[in-house]
Amino acid sequence: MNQSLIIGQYVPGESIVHKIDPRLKLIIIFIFVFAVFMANNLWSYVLLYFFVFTSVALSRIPVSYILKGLKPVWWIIIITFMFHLFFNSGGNVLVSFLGINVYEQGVYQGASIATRFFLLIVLATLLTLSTTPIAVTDAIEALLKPLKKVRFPVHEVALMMSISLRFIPTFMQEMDKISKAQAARGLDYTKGKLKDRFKALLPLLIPLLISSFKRAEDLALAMEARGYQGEEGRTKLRQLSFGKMDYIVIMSLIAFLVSFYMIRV
Amino acid sequence: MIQFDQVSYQYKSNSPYVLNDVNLSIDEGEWVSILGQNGSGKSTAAKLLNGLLRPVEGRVIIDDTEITDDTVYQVRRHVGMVFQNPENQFVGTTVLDDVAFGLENIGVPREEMIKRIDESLKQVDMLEYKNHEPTKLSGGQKQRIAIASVLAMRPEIIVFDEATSMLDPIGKKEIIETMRYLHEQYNLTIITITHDLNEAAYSDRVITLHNGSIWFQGTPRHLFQYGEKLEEVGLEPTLITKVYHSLKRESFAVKEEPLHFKELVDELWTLYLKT
Repeated sequence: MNQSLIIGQYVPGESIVHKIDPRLKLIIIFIFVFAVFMANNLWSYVLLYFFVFTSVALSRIPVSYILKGLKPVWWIIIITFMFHLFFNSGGNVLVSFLGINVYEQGVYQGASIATRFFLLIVLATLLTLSTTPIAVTDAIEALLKPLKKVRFPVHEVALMMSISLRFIPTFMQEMDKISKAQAARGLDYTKGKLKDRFKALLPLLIPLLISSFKRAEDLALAMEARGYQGEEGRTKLRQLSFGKMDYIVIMSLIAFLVSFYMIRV
Repeated sequence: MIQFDQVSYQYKSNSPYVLNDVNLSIDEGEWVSILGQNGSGKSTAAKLLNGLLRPVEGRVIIDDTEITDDTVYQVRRHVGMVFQNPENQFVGTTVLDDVAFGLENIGVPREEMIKRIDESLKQVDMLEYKNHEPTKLSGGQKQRIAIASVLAMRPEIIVFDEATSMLDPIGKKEIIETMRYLHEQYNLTIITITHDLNEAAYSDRVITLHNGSIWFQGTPRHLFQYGEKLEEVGLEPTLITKVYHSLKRESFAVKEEPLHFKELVDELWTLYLKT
């Protein structure tokens, strides 16, 4: 149940969005971040909305999943919108009630900031829903490869990421076990002052930490026994390659960017 | 195939010897159990077999090659190892990735890798779980994946370092069945490190370690004849052995030391017919 939070985000599917190369997906998101902040008139926003909603539609992932991803950030979006609405005082007064003036600029700024947040988060959620964590790791490894020239340990970082992903559910289960074991010994971390609650967490975290060291040792031994000796002479099972679909996506991306640039003022 | 030449080992220079002047040799295609209680040196012996530990004195020779810094990676291709904790030796995020890990390490080309992964998963009967995540597998299944990972590297020797001790009875049985299958079908040299005499009963030869030295070497049947004396070296005689020895004490005319349950049952009904 807990696991679905992190690992189980991925919704298996066969759509274009699922199938395109994860490297391309990361690049698209990267470009999109810039695009979102460069939009400066109504039509450019409309185009961005169009882009995001088309992606969502193409993924065939139920909208409810995406709304779930938005849940923790709804408040931030609304609060920033409100903030701009009430405190920005540029342009003409639009409405005035109970002594508070709402200005033109306020509405416009609020709406555009909220839109930026909203679009970015929807797209990021779409990425995690349509891509397995391991594919994201592979993509990051591939995209970081140029950094190897400046001695950045790309392979090691990628391996660390994938091992972390692998052990998250294991530690969740372990945490569950430890908290039950400590509860059986009378530990209660749901009551009392905040300070006491934090103190009560220690008997959970320390056993978890100790066992994680034991696991790390075992894992290192197992990896060594299977002939791990760093990156040298290593081949890879997972290989990323661009297909026809990816080129189509790239073409449409270019078309999108060009029209976005034209529409902007 | 495997030779320990006067091997001694201690973890720190001032701590007692865990293995003391041990000589042993294991032939190709043999199934040998190394038995002993905790601290008898059996796990140390296992780790010496593929260079995870290096002897303080003496030599470990695999296939006429002594394990040294230069040969250790070569040797590890021939000696696969399955460890005790199924969870902690699962490196990949899925079954597929885990089996691939060892192959990636030794630089197997991708097409060959794909072929070998399917092959080895088939050998342990886990092919249908290829894309599963480790959390969705039982302990016994994870252990079978660990075996598949080792098999994919095509070793001649597989060492099982207490590989069944954390499993439930069903998992245990599955792993022992897999060992037997590999031993019979592929003539692999199998070394099981264990304190479970039921598991040792399947092997061709048993080496019992006690306080870092060899206490007994011979067939399991021979070892079981020690009966309750086995407890002196920290081993628990199997139920079969216990029943047999109490019959013998009551001076019933029982023939041969039974190894497996069926043999004891045969022994019992013939006895019943005679009386």
